[in-house]
Amino acid sequence: MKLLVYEFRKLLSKPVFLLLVFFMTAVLLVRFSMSISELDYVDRALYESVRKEMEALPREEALLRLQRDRDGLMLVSFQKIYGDTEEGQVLFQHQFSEIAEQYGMSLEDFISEYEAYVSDDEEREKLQSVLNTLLEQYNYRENYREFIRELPERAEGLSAISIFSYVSSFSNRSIQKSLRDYLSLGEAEIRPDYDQGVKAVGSDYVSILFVFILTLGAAVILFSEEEESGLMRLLQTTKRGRTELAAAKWAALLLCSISFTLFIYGGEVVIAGIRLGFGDITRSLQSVSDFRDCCYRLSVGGYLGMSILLPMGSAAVFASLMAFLFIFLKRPWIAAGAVAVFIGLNYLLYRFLSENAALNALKFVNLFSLCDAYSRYSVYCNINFFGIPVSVLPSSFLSGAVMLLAGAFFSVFCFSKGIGLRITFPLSFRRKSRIRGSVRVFIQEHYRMYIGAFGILVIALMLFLGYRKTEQGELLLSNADYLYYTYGQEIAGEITDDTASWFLKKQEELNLEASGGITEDTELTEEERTAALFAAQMKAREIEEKRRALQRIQEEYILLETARSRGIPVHYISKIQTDPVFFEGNTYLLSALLMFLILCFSCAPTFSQDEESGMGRLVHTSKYGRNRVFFSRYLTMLLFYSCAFLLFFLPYLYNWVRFYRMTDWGAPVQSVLRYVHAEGNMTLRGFSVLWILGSYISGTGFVFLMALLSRVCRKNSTTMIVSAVVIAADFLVNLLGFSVMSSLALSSGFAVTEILERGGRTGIILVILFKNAGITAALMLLHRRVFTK
Amino acid sequence: MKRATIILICICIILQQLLSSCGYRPEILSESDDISDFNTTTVSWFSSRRPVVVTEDGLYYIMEGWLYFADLNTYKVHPLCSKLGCNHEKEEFSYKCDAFVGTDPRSIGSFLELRGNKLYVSCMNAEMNHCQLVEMKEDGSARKVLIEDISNIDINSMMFHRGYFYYTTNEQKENGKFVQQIRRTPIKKIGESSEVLVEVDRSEKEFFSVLPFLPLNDSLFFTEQAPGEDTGADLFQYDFIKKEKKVLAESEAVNIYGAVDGHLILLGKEGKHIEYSPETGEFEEVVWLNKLHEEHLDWKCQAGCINEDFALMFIVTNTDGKLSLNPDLVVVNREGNALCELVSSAHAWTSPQVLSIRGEKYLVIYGPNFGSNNTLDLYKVRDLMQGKAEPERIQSN
Repeated sequence: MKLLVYEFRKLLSKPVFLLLVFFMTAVLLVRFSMSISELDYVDRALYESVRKEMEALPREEALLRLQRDRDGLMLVSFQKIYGDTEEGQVLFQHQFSEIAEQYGMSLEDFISEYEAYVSDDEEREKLQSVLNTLLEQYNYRENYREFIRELPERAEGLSAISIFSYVSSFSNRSIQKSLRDYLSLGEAEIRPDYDQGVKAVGSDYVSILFVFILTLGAAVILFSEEEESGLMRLLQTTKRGRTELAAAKWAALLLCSISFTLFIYGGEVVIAGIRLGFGDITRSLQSVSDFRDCCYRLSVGGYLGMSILLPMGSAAVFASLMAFLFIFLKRPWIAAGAVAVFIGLNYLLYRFLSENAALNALKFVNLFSLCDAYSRYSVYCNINFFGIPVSVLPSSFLSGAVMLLAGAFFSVFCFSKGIGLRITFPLSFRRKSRIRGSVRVFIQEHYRMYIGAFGILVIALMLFLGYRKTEQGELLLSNADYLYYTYGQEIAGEITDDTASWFLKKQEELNLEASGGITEDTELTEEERTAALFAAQMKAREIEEKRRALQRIQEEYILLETARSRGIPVHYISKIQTDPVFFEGNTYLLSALLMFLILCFSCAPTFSQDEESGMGRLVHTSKYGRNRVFFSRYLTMLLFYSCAFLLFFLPYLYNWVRFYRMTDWGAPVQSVLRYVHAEGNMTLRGFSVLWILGSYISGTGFVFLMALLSRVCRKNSTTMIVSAVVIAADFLVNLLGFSVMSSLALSSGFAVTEILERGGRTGIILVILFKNAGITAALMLLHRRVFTK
Repeated sequence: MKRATIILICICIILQQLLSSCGYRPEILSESDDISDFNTTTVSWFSSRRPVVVTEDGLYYIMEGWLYFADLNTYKVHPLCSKLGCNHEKEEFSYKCDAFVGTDPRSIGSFLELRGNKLYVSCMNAEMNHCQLVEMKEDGSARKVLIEDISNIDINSMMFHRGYFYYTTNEQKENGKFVQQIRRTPIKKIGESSEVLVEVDRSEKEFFSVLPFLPLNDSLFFTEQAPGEDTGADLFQYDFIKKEKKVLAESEAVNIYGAVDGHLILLGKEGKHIEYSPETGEFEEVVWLNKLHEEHLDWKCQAGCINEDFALMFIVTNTDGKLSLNPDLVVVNREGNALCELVSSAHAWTSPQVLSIRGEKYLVIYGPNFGSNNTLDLYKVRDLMQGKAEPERIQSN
């Protein structure tokens, strides 16, 4: 037990690691909280009151009442859409009178019952979403009963089909097994209740990846430090230095990974509970429609528990296997590589292998699959074990337990017996690639940055955030945006004197389009007239949308004309194209701030590490301990930052290239409507280059500032906190928009778009760029002076 | 000692590899190698083949993105999904149903083939963003993705022929250019490596440039349309032996319907039907077919089938020349005489196909009300020729 405590102390004495754990947990929880916000569309209090009201009624009556109210409110909404005109009312009557007749009433009488909701749109929409949710749940309750009762008949029908009828086939066996599984569960009691929170948890398999990365960090601290410093052999000569020490290290890693999982997944359950709610957690899991196919007797509370326990199990198995790999392979680099390959394989198999693949066992007996509680309980599947269907969850538990125990046994066994595989590369290769223990300052600094200061984890996090920023799928435009974009394409290019006549031409076209339609003289039957009226109304709506799109462009044109009157040859470029490239608001600044806060973990300790360990003076006394060490560290930081900056910027570039191709890069910067008031001459191409360059130089300034602060603060944790505060304060000046101060701040390089937006001169960008370059150089020179003297 | 052991193991591995390659014989590909070669007896309108395959027990077919099995023993249609709890719902969670293979309602880009006791199906992946070639057992189990990303632009964009699998891919090159490629891969090595036969530029906006391709004898025939142009496409021939591509006709062909008796049947300019003989290299007008069109100008051909043995043609009649919601389907002979009227679905997407089922030639076509009612109608060709139109209907449970 004491040994376990000592191992934990080792972890707790690493503030950088602890801060990283805290930071990653916070980022993942914020991400989760944001991702579930779209599920929060039902008013919970209103839902609860309606649900209680319905519960008091007999089942059939409640269902009928819900349907009636839903239809009533729907008709009120449609009545508003059709408008007060005579034509609209005729159409409305024609289309919807049947619905009212279902309830034995005329349309007017039926709607009058819901008059209270005519004027209050917000209240009506709230009630509509509550009624829809409840109706769905009530219908589900009825369907579930039917589903369970029909199962034997279904199984018989399926087995009778030629291709499923072979008794020894997987399909036939699977059908029979499914029937047994469902029947053994019986008919679960379905109780409708608020379930958005239940649906939101249990499906996050991305977070487990970060648990794995953090566990990897912990493994490096627990296993490699002693191995590298050569203390391991000494420790193994002590009385409790073999089996007990191995067991303590294994247990510490296991507890670590379990704790990380508890923080993240437990946090997600708490957030889902607070933001969305779970309803009554004692009701059966099958009460939530997503879990109809679950054939386990489990309550909602039980499922919530499993959504934490399953990832914990997955993390524990991973930790156990990792402990074995670190002990067996000895070298942390090789062990980490093996772990990365293992995780990668697991992920690929989980993500891309089909559920009914011949080797679907590899998909289900998998670390990622194990933590995906939602899929495990909502989808009924069997593993195809040489043609025999086997339940997924028990197999996962069993294989997980075997791997956990095997990992534990082999870790302890190999450690206590000193068994291991020390992979050595040929001498010539080793000379070239030797990193650890190298006397070359530059290589040593890289090792310190990427391994010692967890730079590799920071890069992994940047990669993940970058991936999240990329826009997947197709670009979808609303109808209004599409019309605006298509019209805009017609006048794209330089604005000339003829542009005004284009608007007149388009207006005339629209007037002509609107003039068609039916007249009183046209001989039509009643049905034809109704259809024609409907078509005419649709047409009118379409023309109105076109007019609005045209008006939007005209307003933009008027603005651009003001720039043209100043002698600037502005071009028309649609806002659909420019908005995502030249960002509005503070999203770009906030993303940049987040990047620097992440970079603090690895960049801030560059100089303070030596000071903290008292090695600073010793380093100074060595031959290359002054200038070479200084420049090597700066170059290392610069390369690291460049890599991070690339990962930060690449997603934006990817999105631009993929969706918002802009061909008019030679247009003046004033062609972007947001910068129409800017003064001076500059093309969009020039501006973009200066903007990226400005951002990069500003960022370099921040990195150098961290280095200087690390010299001043002398302690890793203090440097990190002080750096984070100083950088955040600098960004805050620009985020809050203090006009005078903002151009003085170092973060101004990231905020040059704001300067143009406020009508500043384009030349200011160059001034800011040089100012920031100057500050950056000054910071470095000052630090060099302090460091070398 | 250790080093010697490692070296010995390495030598053994290298020797084994060398010896095994010595024993490798290049694949000799012949017509007989390919048991499910392209059907050269029937040409169906709109596109050459429907995704329908026949086994002793029944028919597999794809409709509206779902893979069905029509059981000839029970005369019932069922989605190829053995999950007891699955409702095979079309609206939501379709990916949970094993029978769901894609979204294209017309099944135009769907590929279905049976080789041995394995089905080969084009399926959309779980994210629904690309198409895969999947191999599975006849009961739909034991699935294996053979090719990860293929283009399913047309029914003829995938094909087995003489021991090879032919398919198209859409790619974006490093320079940002969009290209479309026709590739082939030996059937025994599907998913391992492929050879690019043809590569054409395609405009960014357009979905495809290469229209249906057709491998025939030692050549691959395909049409190619210049990006952004509405004019007729050019007809190309790619010679597998000489590895050459040559133009057969410029701006002449619109679509390759298929091949009958070793001749290509093409839809040319202004709706004229052309026949191309690869042996003589000559184009000929399909006189009887064009005559039928001229004589029956009010007949809008939407679903059709030419069969060399039976000389059948199915025409959707329409009085105003527009596609009707309930058009009629009529069987006519080459002389233009109507033989009988069918009650099955006459939608443009239901191109009929003549298949041999349990030793009897049948015309297979979707049942009435295509899309809303999943039935398959089987007409004996013998009966049709005698003016009888009594279908054997296989319908859903």
